[in-house]
Amino acid sequence: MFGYIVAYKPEMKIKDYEIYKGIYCTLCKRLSRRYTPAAQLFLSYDFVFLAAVRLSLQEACPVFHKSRCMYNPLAKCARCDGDEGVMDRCADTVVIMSYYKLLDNFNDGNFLRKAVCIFLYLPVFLMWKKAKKRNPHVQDTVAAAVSRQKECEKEQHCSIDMAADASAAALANLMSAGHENSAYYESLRRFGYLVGRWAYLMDAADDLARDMKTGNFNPFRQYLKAGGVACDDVKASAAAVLYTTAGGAAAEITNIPFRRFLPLLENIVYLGMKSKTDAVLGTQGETKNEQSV
Amino acid sequence: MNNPYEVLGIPEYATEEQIKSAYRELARKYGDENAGAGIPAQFAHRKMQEINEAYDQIITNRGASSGGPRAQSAYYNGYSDYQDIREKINSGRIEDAQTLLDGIPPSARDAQWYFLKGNVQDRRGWLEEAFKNYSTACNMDPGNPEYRAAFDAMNRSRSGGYATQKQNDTGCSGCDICTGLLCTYCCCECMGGDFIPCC
Repeated sequence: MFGYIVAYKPEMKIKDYEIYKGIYCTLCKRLSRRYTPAAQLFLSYDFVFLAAVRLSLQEACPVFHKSRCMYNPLAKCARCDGDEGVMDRCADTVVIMSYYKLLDNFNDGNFLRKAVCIFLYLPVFLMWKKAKKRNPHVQDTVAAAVSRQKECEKEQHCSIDMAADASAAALANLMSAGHENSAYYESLRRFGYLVGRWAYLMDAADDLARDMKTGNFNPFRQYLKAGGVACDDVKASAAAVLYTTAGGAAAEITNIPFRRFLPLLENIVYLGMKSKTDAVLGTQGETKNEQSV
Repeated sequence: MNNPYEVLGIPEYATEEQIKSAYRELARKYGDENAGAGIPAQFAHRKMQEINEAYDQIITNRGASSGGPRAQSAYYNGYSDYQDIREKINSGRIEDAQTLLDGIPPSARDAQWYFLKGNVQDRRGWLEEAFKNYSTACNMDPGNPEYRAAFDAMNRSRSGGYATQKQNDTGCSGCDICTGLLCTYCCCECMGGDFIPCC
């Protein structure tokens, strides 16, 4: 996951924003304590969303209290306790996914990127070994998704759905693990699937211009070649796919009985995903400088 | 009765897949919809019964020996087949529905097939293929409201027109104003006041 699933700040209430930031801070702190301070570099808002969904489905209510942080000692921010292992699990997920992302970057990056990857490899590898042992379920899920993704990309006629399936199923698994016996299990899976699919396709749409130049795999590019659509329509058809997926997730959110944080999740799914889609497809130059929140 | 394998024209060691495809092949030839094209209806009907019995017998025998469930649903009976698939979709058995749908040969796929296939893919989250199948279903049977509704719903969200806000009715409607006036009137009159002077 690559930092696409973010909240839409202008429409947020202060209390939701505080919770959002609180979850981010807690996750960041947990990464530093559970691994090394270097692990904090890999945290993105996607994982905050994952943590928020998991927290809002757990029985016990998480407790927030204010505390300071060494990166910004003047401002106090909310810290979350009583999370029933959600934060630890998310921290493990951050590390495991970062490791595979690093490998992926190394495989299809240019010289400079490769150098950065080699520089980062050893610390990430050590953290990954730790995370793998701590949380084998997450490791299995992510590893399965990565290997399926590779197989898909080798396939000649890989459709958009097929390409997105591995990442989407991985997020569905991560989100719904532990809720197998609940009545909302199917809804939660579908919700996770569609959000994961959206995130994967957003990444593909964002990288489209670069991939077209370098010739790397991109689901939209394959699709356009097969369909014989002109290059000008790339963005239009990508937008249709992304909107459909985001719309599906937005429809599914009403079927899940979230215990708390519902306004926050609604903001992310209803407004955040849509505005991010528009930002990435509208003017690609602007998105590079845009702050996530 | 004849040997059921002979009726279907397959060897006894045939796999389940072969049995099903042989059955479908024959059912298409002698089935109710297709009878009359060179084959007398009476004969076709009797033949169809024989084929059904033979198929049933083989599947029952095999089911008993292997302990597996009876694959009765593989019947190729036009609409009843789709009914079964619809039930499977509704009860959430998406994989089963998909297997059954894929079992129907391409030549026999009609608008309903494309609609159901789209529905299955929609459930799985394969929204692009679902959209393609919905639009094929709509093109094949433009008058069908069910296919049209599914297609339109998807088309709306493709252009970004999906719901981005929860529907909430907390505003003040005409009814609320009326109720408010009535309450005020009742209270005022009870207390001896005169909210509306004319009555």
